[in-house]
Amino acid sequence: MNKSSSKTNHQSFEKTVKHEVDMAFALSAQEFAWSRFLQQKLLSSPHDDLISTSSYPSEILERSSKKQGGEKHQDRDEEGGEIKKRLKELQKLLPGGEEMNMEEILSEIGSYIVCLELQMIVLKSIVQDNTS
Amino acid sequence: MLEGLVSQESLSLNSMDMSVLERLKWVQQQQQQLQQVVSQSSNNSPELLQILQFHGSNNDELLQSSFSQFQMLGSGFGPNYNMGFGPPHEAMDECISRTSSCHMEPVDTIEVLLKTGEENRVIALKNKRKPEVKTREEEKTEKKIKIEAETESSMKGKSNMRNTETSSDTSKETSKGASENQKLDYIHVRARRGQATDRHSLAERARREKISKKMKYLQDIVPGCNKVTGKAGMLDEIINYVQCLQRQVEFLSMKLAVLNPELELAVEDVSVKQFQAYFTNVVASKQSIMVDVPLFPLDQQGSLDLSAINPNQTTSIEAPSASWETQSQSLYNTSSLGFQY
Repeated sequence: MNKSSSKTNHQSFEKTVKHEVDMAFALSAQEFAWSRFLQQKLLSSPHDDLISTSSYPSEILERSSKKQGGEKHQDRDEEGGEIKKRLKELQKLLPGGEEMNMEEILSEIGSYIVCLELQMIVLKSIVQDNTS
Repeated sequence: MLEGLVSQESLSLNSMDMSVLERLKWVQQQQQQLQQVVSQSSNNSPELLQILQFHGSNNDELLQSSFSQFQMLGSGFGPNYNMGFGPPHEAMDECISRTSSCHMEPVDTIEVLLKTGEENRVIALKNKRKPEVKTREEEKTEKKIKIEAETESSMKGKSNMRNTETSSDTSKETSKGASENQKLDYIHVRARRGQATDRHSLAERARREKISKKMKYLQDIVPGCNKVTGKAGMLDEIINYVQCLQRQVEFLSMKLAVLNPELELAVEDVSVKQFQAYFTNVVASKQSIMVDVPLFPLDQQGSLDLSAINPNQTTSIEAPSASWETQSQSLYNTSSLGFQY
């Protein structure tokens, strides 16, 4: 079994591992649009950081505070906008979500969540495997 | 909007698999009743006269067409189920082209035409209570009862969204003596009292119903969604949950990378494929736990035969008998990994 020389940069190694994990994740559920999109993206750009967790929580906090302030007047009008904002967020989270409309996002995100949970279970077991 | 219609149609089609049988039986029952009434009609039954008078003289051709349809029905209903009865009005054409359930309507019209006056009134009342508002509205004086019967029949066999009343509409129109709206089972949505019944709002409503269905499904999946009300709050929860999951996955993968620095993965390397195979194999072994998610249909790709691999190594996570390297080796040795990567 051939092993290539180890990479010097640990981060790139991490990225590779992450890439593999994502790839396996995408391969595990191929019936869904998001998995196909994820696969294509992985194949085209192998070392990009796919899931960015940079600023989403802060954005959500901002929005909720804004909502509390704006509740007094024009609740309904703002609600449509609020929903749209959240949908945009969801679009960013879901791989391939940029090209989907609202209904598609809602249907895809159910399967995405379930697959994510499953992936977590598997990763936990693998990690446990290797620590014990 | 069209997608909404199409998917709605597929929904109704799916639900029709059982209801078609029910409706067949029901139609056969109606046939028997019809035959009874027709046998009576030859001797000038008062009910039929009443109906004929009610419908007025300008309906002869309509009645004739209906009766011809009835004859067609009587001759052979079963094999001709889908033939599309040459509907008397163009609205039916639209129906038939879009939903396969529309061809039930002529049967119902005939059935109603030949029932007694009292029954007509009963049906009218029933249908006043739960009419279906169709996408297209036409007012024809002679088609009032027919339409009501259509609504009643179409109520039975279809996947209807809501059952509320448009009693205001119907009461107005019956008081005029004019007919109700021409109801076409096109989108299976009921209009509530006072709501608009034109095509666009119906489509909108159908779309909204679908979206709320999906939101309910998401509510079940995402923990903690039950307490929050409203779409925005739920979407918030969902976003948070997805981010949480993603972060956890990332963290775990980093941990994995830390724990296995000797793994020495490279993109082009064969060991990479083994890692993938191991990972997805493990995922597949968890299949029994997660019910909804179909995993890893690699059989379609034809590249990895899991059934060949599984007996040759310990796939259960709970009993790791081999280390990482040996497992990878066994994977490599057992079958040809024509992995698509």
